[in-house]
Amino acid sequence: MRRDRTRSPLWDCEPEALQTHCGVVPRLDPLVERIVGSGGRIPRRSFCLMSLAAVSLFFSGRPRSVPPAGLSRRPAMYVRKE
Amino acid sequence: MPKSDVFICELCPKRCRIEEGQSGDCRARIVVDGQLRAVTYGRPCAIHIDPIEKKPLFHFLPGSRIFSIATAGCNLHCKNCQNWTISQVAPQDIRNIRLPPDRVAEVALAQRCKSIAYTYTEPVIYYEYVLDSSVRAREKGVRNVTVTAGYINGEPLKRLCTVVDASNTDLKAFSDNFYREVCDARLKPVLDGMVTMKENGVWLEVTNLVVPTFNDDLEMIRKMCRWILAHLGADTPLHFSRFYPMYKLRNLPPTPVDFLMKARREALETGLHHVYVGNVLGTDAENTYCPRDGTLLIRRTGYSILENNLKDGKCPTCHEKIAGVWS
Repeated sequence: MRRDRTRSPLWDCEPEALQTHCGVVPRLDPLVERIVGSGGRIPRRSFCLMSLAAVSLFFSGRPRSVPPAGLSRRPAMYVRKE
Repeated sequence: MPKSDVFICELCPKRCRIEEGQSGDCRARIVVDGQLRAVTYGRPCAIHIDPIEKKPLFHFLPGSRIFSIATAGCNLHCKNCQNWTISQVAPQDIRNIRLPPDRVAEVALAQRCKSIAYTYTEPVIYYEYVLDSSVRAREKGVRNVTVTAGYINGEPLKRLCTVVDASNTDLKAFSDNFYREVCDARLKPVLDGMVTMKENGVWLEVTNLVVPTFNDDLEMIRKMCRWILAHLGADTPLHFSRFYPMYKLRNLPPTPVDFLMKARREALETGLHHVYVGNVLGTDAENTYCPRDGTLLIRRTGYSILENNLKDGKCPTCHEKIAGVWS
C-alpha cells in the first residue's frame, strides 16, 4: 500500500530535499515553534553581557570570559588540564 | 596577571588545546570561567521530523517518524558539506532555541516519533546533550539514533553506545588522504569507531558519499567493501549516496548514476548483502531483497515505503531472518 508522505507538511520530500542523504537543512522556521513551542529564543548577542565581561576581566586580574549570550555553561566531559 | 589553565579536549581525535575564551576546532566547546563548557547543550539550531529513511536507515524501524535535532558546529570541515550553514558556524552566530534533554523525548513522543536522531551536523560535538537526552529517551521507550562521521575517541564512544540504538556512520572514503584533504580528519579513528559500535550492539548502517574526481575510484570502493565485510559483517547495509554540488565543491558535477550502480554491483559481488543507492529516484537500488532467494522484501521510492513484505523480520518465501531492527 502506498503511503504518500509528500503530503505531510512536516516532511521534506520535495525533489530538492532528495539531493542529499540527510536532506535539506531544516532551519528554525515557524514549523519548529509548532513542534516544540515558542518560548526560549536566544538573542544572538548581548551587549550588556559583553560589557559585564569586560568589567569583570578588568577587576579580576585573571583572564576570564563569559559564555556567548544565551548559550549553555554545562561543563564538558572528557577534558583534562594540560 | 596569573596564567589561566589550558585544557585538552579528549572527546575527539583532534585533542584540541583550548585556552580561556577560546573554542575547540568544533566551535561548540569553549573554555569559560576556567572550565571547558559544552555551550550548545540543550540549544539545538535545527529541529525537524523526518522519515527514518532520510537518515538513511533502511533496516531500523522502517516507515517510522524520527525526531531530528542538531546543534551548531562540527569537528570536521568537509569541503562538500551539505549542511555547512549550521555545521561550519559558531553557535553564537546562529539562532538556537532552548530544548533541554528531558523535553526532547517528550516532544518526540508528542509528535508520534519512535526515535530521536542526533543528526544534520555532528552529534559528537554536542556529546553531553546526546548522552543526557538519550538516557531520558530510553526511560520513555524512545530509541536513539546518531547520524555521524564517527570521529570520536574510544572511551566516549563506548559510553555513548550504552544508550544509542542505531547509527548511520559516514565512511567518507577509504583513503586517509581524502580524510586529510577534504575533511580535515583521519580515516583510522572512523574505522575503529565503527568496529566499536558493532561490538557494542549498536545497529549500524554505513553511507559512502561518492564525490566525482575525489573518491569515485572502483578499486578504493572494492577495498572499502572488503573491509566492511571483514570487520562489520555481510549484513551491514551500505548506502552509496549521490553527491550534488555543495559548499566548496560547487564546481563538480553530480555523481553519474551509472557509477553508483557500478559501485553497488562491486559491493554485492564482494559479498555484502544489502547495498543501496541514495539520492537517486526510481531505481531498484532503493529496495531490500532477501540475500538468500532474492525475494523483494521492501520496495521504496525516495523516503516512501511502497511495499513491506517482511513477516516478523523474515523473508516471506524462504523464512530467512533479515538483519535489522524491525519493531
